[in-house]
Formats: sequence, structure tokens, C-alpha cells
Amino acid sequence: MEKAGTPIVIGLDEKSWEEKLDKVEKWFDQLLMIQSSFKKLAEQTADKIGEIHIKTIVLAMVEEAEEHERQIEELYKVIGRDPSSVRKKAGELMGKMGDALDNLQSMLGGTSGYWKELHQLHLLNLNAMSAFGMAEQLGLALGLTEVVDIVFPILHDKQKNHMMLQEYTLEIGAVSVLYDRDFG
Amino acid sequence: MKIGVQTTKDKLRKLPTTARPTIDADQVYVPDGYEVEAVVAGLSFPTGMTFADDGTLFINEGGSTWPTRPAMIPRILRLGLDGSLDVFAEENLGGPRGLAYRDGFLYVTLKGGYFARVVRYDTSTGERTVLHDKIPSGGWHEPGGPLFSPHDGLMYFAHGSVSQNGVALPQGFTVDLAKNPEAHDVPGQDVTLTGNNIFSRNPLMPYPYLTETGAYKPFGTPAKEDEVIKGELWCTTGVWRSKPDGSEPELIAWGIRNPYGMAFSEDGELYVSDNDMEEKGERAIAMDPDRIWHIKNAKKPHGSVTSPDWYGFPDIAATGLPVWHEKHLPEKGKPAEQLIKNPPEWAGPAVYLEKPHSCMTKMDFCKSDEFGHRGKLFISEWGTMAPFNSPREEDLSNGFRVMMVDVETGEGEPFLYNRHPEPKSESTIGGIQRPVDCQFSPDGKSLYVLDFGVAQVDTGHMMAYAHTGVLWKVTKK
Repeated sequence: MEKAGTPIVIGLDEKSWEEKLDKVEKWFDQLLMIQSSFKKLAEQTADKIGEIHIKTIVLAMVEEAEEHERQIEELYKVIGRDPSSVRKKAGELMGKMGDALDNLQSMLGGTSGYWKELHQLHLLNLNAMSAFGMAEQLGLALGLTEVVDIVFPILHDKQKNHMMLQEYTLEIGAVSVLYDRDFG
Repeated sequence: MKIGVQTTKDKLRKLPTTARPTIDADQVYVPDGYEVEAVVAGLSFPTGMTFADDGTLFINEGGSTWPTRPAMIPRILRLGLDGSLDVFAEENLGGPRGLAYRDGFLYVTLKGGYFARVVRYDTSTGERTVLHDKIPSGGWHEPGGPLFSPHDGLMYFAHGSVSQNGVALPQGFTVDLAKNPEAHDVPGQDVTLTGNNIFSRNPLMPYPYLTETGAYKPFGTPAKEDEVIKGELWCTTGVWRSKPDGSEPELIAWGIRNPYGMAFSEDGELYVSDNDMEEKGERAIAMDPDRIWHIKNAKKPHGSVTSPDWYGFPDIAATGLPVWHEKHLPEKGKPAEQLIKNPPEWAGPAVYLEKPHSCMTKMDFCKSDEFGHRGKLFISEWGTMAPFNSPREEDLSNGFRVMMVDVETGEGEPFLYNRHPEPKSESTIGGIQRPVDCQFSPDGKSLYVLDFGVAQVDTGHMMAYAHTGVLWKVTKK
């Protein structure tokens, strides 16, 4: 029987807290994989794009993506987990992502040129935006302001990128599908 | 299922939640002769509580609250007399808001989806029965009650408006339009509209062009001048009563924007808290006070209210002035225009006016000589959402306290608040954050204060942190 008059704490004792952080760490692993695959595809896409305006936009996304990946290391630090293994994890996880990217490309038959990559990049950015959004929710759910502070500006960047990728993909898509060619 | 572990006051000062790293009752001011202690910490978005007759305390964790994400588990906790805590019941998305105990049953108001509900649990078997499920909802504001009248034994409950300021608009996209795009207000009496529609961008469209929306219409649907909207029993902004089994529901009042707090005085008079309109968006209203209404129809015999009283929403501010009056012209947003051409007679004035954006929530009358202040209404003030909903510097620190109100004189004084009332420093000094409910224990010795936890507000958004809620207890020494 517990004594009345002693405060009770819900979910914040050491055991409960560490269990929750283990689950958050696993989500950060997912986030890292998704964000790394976005960055890799952004690099590949930028290499293939001839049209100077779109190329400049995607190159800027690559730079941002590198910074966002660095910020994931900070997320690991916030929950007291070692970020030194992050790069190694990213390499391992990217291997797993190769097949998924190939499958995605095969779904876009009937088009040619860099438009395919641009379209995939649009989808991967959405995936990464959702994964960062989930990281933010986990920060809110565990009362961790630092997680939210790190992720909020990244979500802003991702939202802007989403709008740009959507617009460029739709803007040049008809030429790719109907005339079997790219801009630039 | 039992939850929580016992801890110490020292450990409450070193919590892993950086949003609220310390909880320290010494930082909470109460008048001389009273003391404060933290009873439960780590609550996730608590929204209301009630006592059983024997002193067992039921506490809601609201699930999806303010803002709507993240949603934590919507559930009802039970704090036993021996200090043990368990999960009495889990609810579905949206979640529990208010609670009342009577004769072995626990009555609960629930939000979530297009309709709010009132359900009843048998506390001995856990059996759940839906009593009411036709209350229009799905927007900004909350169910009120339930509670039982000492006068007639009936169950009273309420629900606020779907729209923020009278027209469904994309002001809080994640709260309403994203999940319930068809939600809209419903009047409690027949009203004739002016046809003063509002233009706003439509974020639901691939190209968010300007669209037009009228009062009592879903977003994107205009109203016509002289269009009559039929009043419904199940309206928004309403206060109802029914028998405890849900039968014979009766609408006794409407036009109350957010009737979250409801309390009966010892002589059976019903009072309801209500929050001011907001100074932002395409129908912005400035300097509308928070208020407490006296629901005079509650004293009438059950079934005798032929015309519910109207308390002003969406066209009359708590000042008694129309919301388009120069005193209510906004610094931020577009001024309001008249929506109802033939408004019913106003049932005001309010018995108590509070600073705008204090966000008065749940409340209880003191019915005990032992605690002191018998007959006074104790009301939680969740605290301002400025600068999100007001551009005014003076609104930045309103609320964040428990007030003690004399409903006869209309005077109020702070009873519980932080010793260092700087909003930005609250989380670091360990005092109270956002009081959402206050209830007296059945023995009349203590006032329990439910603290929602940390909700941070900025100009463009608001974020709330789970596991930061606290149950405080105030006792007379």
C-alpha cells in the first residue's frame, strides 16, 4: 500500500524515461535514413539537370540537406545518445534504401530525363518532412523543447522545398511525358 | 492498470522534461494560512477532474487538446484514497474534457470528430453508456460540464462554438479545417442573416484563392441576405440539461462562445465561464473581456424553457456592445460586421468580467467553512494565448492563476499565482503553468488545482508539451 501525501510522477522516472528514449532513438534512425536518401538523390538529380534555374534550386536543397543531416546529430545529443555512430548508421541504412529507390524509379515508366529524379525527389522530400514532423511530435510528447527548437526551422525549409519541387515537377512534367525530353 | 511511481519533492526539482525541468510548490503564492503541495506530476494534457463522494479523484488526460497535436492517450485516471493512481478508462481520439460523479456513475464530456458526446461509466463495472452524441462540434471550442444541479438533480452540460469568431475560417488550420472541413456553427433559435460574408484564402484548394463564407455555414459556403437559419436543440454555443440517463434534453441557453467551466452555487444558481473573441484574422474583435454568465433559466422547472436565453455570440461582446463598435475595432485583422439581422434579446450582463485572454476555464464554489471563503467562486485561468490571438502588449501576461470571485458584487481577487509572474520564467522556477480546473475536496478541507502544463505561444503558432501537467493541492494550515 502506498502512502498518501507522497507525490506521484507519471512516466518521468528513470526506467520509464530511458525506455521512451530508446524508442525515440529508433525514430531518429529512421529519420536519418530518410533524410540521407533525400540528400543522395538531390545530389544525383542536380548532376543530371541541365536547366540552370532548376539546377540552382536543387543544389541549394543539397546544401540545406547537409545541414539538416548535421542537425539530426544534435537530436541524438539532446536525448543523450552518442552521435558518433550516426555517420556509420547512415552508410548502413543507405544500402538498404538503394532497392527502394530503384523500385520507385520503375514506377515512373513512360518518362525520360531528369524529370524522373525530380519527381522522386519531390516524394522523398515529403517523406523527410513527415519524418521530421514526427520527430517534433516526439519532442512535444516528451516535454523536450530542444527537439522542437531544432526541428521547427527544418520543417519550414522542407515546406518551402515541397512547394518548389511540386511546382517545378508539374511545370515541366508535360514536356517530359508528351515529348520525351527535358528542359535545358 | 496502475501507473506512476512515488517520488520526492527533491526529485520533482530535477525532471528530465526540459519544457518543465522543475516543479516547486514554494514558488506558488497562496494567502497566509494556506499551503501548496504537488500531488501528481507528469500528467499529459489534463483537462478536468471530479471527486467521488468518498474523496477518490478522477482526472482526465485530454488526448488531443490545445493544440490538437500531439495526441496522447485520452484516458481517465483514478487517484485513490491510499495515494495509488490507476487508469480507470481509455477513450477515443479527441478525448475527455469534463467529469462529474453521482450515485456510483461517472459522467464524462468528450470531444473529437463532428459531434461531442456525454457518456456515463458505472464505476463498479466499468460499463460505458452513451447518453448524448448529437452535439455539433469539430471546431475550436469545448464541451462544458457535465455537472448536477443541487436544485433539481438534473445533469447540465454545454458546448462552445465551432468557429473562432462567428464564421468558420482558416485561422487555426490544424485545429479545425484540416480534420473537420464541413464543421460549422448551428444557432439555438431561428436567426435571419445579414449576408455579411467573409473573404479568405482557401487552403483546402490546390490554388488557395479567395473564397466566401457566411455565418452558420461550412467554410467556403456563403450566406444570403435575409436567409433564415433554423434553430436546433443540438446547436453550438448551447447549455442543456437532461435527466441523468440522458432523456428529456432541454436547451436553456445559447450564444456562449466557450462554456468550459460550469458550477452551481449552494443555492442552485448556475454559472458558466466563457472566453473572449480573438483579435486576429478576417473577423477580428479587440478588447472583448473574459466573463462569467449567470444562467438564469437553470432555476426554471425542467421542460418549461420555451425560448433559450441568448448570451451574445457571435455579435455582442461581453461589454454589451456590438462587436463592430469602435471599442472593439482590431489593431490586427479585419473588423467584424453584423451577422444576425434579428438578434434575440441579450441575456447579459455578465456577473464578472476579466481581462481579455485570461482564458477562464473550470471552476468550483467553495461550500466549506473549514477552507474559508464560503460562497466564493474559485476559477482557473489557463492564461493568455497572446501574441497568437492578440497583438497587444498588455495581453501577454493575463491569466496563469486561480481567481476568487464574488458573483454577487462582480469583484474578484487572485488566490493562487506564481511568486515570480514572468511568463517566460515560469518553467524554470517551477511554479504553476496553466491552471485548467480547480475543485474542492468533498471534506471541504482542500482545493485541488489541475495544471495543464506547458503550452508555448508565438505570433504564428502554439505548442504544448505532454508530461508537464501537475495536480496541486492547497490546504488550510
